[in-house]
Amino acid sequence: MAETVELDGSVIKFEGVFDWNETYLAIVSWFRSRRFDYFETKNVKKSTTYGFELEYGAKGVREETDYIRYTIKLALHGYHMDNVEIIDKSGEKKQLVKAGYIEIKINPTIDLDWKHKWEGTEFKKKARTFVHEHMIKRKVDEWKDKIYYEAYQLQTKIKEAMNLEHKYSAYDARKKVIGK
Amino acid sequence: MPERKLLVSDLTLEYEGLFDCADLFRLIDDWFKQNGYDKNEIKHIEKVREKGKFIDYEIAPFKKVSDYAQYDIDVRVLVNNMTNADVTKNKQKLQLNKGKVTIIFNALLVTDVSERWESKPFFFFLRVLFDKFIHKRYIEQYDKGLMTDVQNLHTELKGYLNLSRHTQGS
Repeated sequence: MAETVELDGSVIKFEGVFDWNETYLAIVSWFRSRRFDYFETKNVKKSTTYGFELEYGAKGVREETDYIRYTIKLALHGYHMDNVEIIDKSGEKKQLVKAGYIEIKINPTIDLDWKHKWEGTEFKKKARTFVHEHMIKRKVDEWKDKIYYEAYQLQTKIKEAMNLEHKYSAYDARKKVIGK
Repeated sequence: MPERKLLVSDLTLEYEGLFDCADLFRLIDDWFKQNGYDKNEIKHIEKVREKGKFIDYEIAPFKKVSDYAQYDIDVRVLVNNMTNADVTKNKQKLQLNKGKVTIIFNALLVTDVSERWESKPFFFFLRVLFDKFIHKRYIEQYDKGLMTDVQNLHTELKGYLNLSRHTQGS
């Protein structure tokens, strides 16, 4: 088993009207533009008495080096959703989805030694742990920081697509991790 | 568990009237980035209601000031009954928001972040002695630094909202 470190994720909760197509496209194009391999893990739509329920799960995997692999998991759950048609200011008809309640969770993780090169024996595993905790601790923190802020960039992209009020992040300009 | 000391509890800032919601959030984000804090968003809830939008936005950015101490500032922004408002100022049309904003600040000084002094009861006892007597001056400096940060952020947001109030009046 590779050493998997789960980092703090974020949650967006929204009740209102939003463009699901635009949100979906924004998510997929963001993952593709950052060279993640994109997998849909769940796509369930259930009809209920009060509209439909949508469950969508996806993950993006990127093999950064032969030692570290980044994964960002996305889980979306919408309740009491309905399709609505609106006419925007330019007179165009737009198909939107009215969400009773939608929750989006983004969780980044990092896999260290994902090729299992240091797992043959107990000694190798302990040596790997020692190296991570003492010898390259700062390096591991830098790798964690990188995927942590990339997950926030995805969150900002989703907020822009859903047209939420807070769709700006001062940390998006952070392309390289600022090490200590 | 690291030791957490609550220095600021529920410091509240309230405002009702015209303001730019996106700009307010931008100001908070920029302030934390410029002051070296790491981003940590706890929740972002937005609900469209009959009377207007309701927003509950909470962040808890942190800043490691040393390998022993860390500043945690918790900021919660509650916006009630927010609607869009078109305002004409100096012959320019501006799109602003109107509603009630409540900003709540909490600040914690976290010591022994890496939990090195908690593995044994004797180490825990040593840590308490060090913090109370030997490192007292440093802990007081950390307290002062954190209080200054919270005060600066509070003043900046207060100034921004007061400016919005004056803009509304003119």
